[in-house]
Amino acid sequence: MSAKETVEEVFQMYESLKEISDDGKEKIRRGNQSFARRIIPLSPKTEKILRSKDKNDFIDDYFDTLNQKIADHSVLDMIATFERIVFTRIVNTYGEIRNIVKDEYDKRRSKKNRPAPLYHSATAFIKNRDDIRSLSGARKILENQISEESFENLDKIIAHRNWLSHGKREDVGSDSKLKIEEVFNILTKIIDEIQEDV
Amino acid sequence: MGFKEKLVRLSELDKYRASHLTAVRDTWIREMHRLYKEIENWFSEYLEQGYMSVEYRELQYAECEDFFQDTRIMELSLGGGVSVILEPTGTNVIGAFGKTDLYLRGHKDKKIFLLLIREEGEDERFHWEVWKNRKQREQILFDKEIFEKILDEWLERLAKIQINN
Repeated sequence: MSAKETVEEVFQMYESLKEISDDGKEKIRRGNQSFARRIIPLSPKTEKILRSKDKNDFIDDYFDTLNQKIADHSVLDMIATFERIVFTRIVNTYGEIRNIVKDEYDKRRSKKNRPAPLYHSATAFIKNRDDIRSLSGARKILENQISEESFENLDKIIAHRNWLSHGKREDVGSDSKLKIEEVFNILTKIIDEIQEDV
Repeated sequence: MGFKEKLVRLSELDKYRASHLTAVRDTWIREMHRLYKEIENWFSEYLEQGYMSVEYRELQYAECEDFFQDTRIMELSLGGGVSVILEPTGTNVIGAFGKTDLYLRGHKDKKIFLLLIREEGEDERFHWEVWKNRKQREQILFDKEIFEKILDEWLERLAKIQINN
């Protein structure tokens, strides 16, 4: 499966979950009580609401919240998948660049056929995996590879991911105006942009 | 800089951050109230005639405790049938002072955003803009006309869904 297909699969899963949720909502709205009992955590209070005229409002609110959670989890999953893809690519590229530097620098000799300065340490001049442990670290590497627009969007996505994964607080990360479809489109575009030069 | 000076500076910075945060929260609460009041004014005729009604309920989620106490979800019932929800999400948002989700109850996945924007060069002046998606290039001011247009589109779409079901 290609990198892009892997992210597409996560998005497809979101759509499947959303479809299941929408179907479930319809079933419960049509009065399928036994199904409702299995899906919605029922208490004496909610049982009462489900028999009242406010039943549909309650069901709508419940599934609005559920769908929001599905979208939030799917965004996190999509970004985690993207991160995995980017890191695999970075690690592979790192290995290749490391070998090129080692081989090429090794070939450099002075007129007296002496090795180039610090030739034993040549590869230490390259960033290694530890320098780019997080997506924020990888972001710097991607800066020259992807378009300016994608880079700005990636910043927003990283902030959004941090905000989501730390409980939507006011002091960690930031909410964005991006919807899940837009996050998906941005990430697949970035994968395309990374792929181009490979 | 000596140790004491560093302590003084840190303490001042902390005070500044705390007062800035309080100011942001107060502004957000004030602007949310102002928006709700404005919407009630826009539709006062329909509210008086009973074609619309307004209810306020507690937030399900808030980025800080103050918002649970001082801001509410606005629920605008249209003709006693469908409801439109305005759900404030908070101030920690990129590209705006604050954000509110606007959606038809039961269709939150189709929500659009209302963004609170600080007016250029004006510390205390704000307005609300509608944000539908990234393709939107122009700024859309949130006013009575645009709100009615949004509601009208949603009601049309809902009618189509109900016919198909």
